[in-house]
Amino acid sequence: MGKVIVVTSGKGGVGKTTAVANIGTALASLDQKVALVDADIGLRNLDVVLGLENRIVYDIVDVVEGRAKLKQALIKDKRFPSLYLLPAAQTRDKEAVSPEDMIGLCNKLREEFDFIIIDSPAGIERGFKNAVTPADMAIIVTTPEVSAVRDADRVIGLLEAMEKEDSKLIVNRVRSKLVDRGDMLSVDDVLEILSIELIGVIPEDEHIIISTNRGEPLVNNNTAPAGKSFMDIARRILGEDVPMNIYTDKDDLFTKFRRLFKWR
Amino acid sequence: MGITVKGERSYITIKIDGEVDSEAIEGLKTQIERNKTFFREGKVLIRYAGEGMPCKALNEIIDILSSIEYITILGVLTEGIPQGEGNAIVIKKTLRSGQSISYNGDVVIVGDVNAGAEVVAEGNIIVLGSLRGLAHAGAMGDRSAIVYALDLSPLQIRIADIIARAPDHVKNKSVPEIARVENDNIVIETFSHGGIR
Repeated sequence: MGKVIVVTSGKGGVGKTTAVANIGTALASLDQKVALVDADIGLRNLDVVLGLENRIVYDIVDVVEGRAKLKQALIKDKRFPSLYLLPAAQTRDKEAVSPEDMIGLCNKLREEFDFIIIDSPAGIERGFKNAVTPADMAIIVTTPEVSAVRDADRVIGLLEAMEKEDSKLIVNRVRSKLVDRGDMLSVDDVLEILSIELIGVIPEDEHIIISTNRGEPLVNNNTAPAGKSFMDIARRILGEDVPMNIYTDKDDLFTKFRRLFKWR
Repeated sequence: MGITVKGERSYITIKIDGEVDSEAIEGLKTQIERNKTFFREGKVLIRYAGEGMPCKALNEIIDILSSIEYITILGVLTEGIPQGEGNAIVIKKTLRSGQSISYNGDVVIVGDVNAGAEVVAEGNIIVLGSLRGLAHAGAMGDRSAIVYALDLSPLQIRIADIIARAPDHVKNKSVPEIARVENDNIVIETFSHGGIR
């Protein structure tokens, strides 16, 4: 039986979709069978981040409304044969799917896959309920900003009220230099407010922007600090005890030299 | 003053307030006799809300009630708090953004009150943790109510009809503090032990 994980945040733009794509890819590269479900109906973009946009034939609403079988709608990833995507519909809205539909869908997916990762939409309305209801575990993504932390707190409260006990935190887009100068909340500051278990810290990394635009998850790239961090998170999900490394975006010696020559 | 009988959802409370003489006890006895059907369900909670203990009167009432076979005494609550009603709830969790508690007595929170959460109490508010949200003590107008927290850094504190907001500059240290009303203003003092001066 597979495990259903929802990635959620409350606030938009903190990196939910990027996290889903990268954690999913990382798990697949660790030989797990993974299904990614885009629950952001009407504003889908997990397919874009994964570079699978042009392969969509059927979507989640087609499955729920019986126009397609689940197997037909699942898109196999071009790099990892054990990674699949169930895309959202773009021409419908959140009301097209109910929380009960999502439970049914996830129960079917559980039989086939080791992990089902749901990309939750921003907000706390219907779309959020759809995404969260079937989940065994929630990963809350926040950035070290007061507004994002506030929304994360709200979401954790809602999850508690829904008796979802297993919640973990990702602090995304941490900029060590700003933290050191005292201009950004540190991971500890965030943890003090939210008081839930940390599962990973992702540094700000320009590789992410490039990879998102290209539709290639970062985990393939061993030099990117964010990619390494997502790989660590995947290992922790699998139960490995990985020390909490915050990979810095400091240049290694080689790039320093290269930069020196460019500068001349 | 005296004895009041009140039906709750699943039990009956007998509230004893202040001095109770033998006449009042006789009155209770006849009341029970007369309203057998009312007492038939049989679960009774005794609440004592006076100052000091009138042991004799209370014992007499307990004796009377326990001698009636269709009545079971759930318990005896003594509430020597000078806030009139004087009841309190203890919440053993962190209140997160969007969650709120309102209560017609004192509220004790064993945990934090995060920004965006609300606590409204007719009595005092005590937070054994960080208070970062909104606290309104003495919500029905009791200016003697206080707000206490191990780390008092709320967005706003309200006591009765007075509102104070947090200073725009972040305070540096988190020490236990108490907020109370003094001359129409909310004052905040450090408070670790020693009581209110």
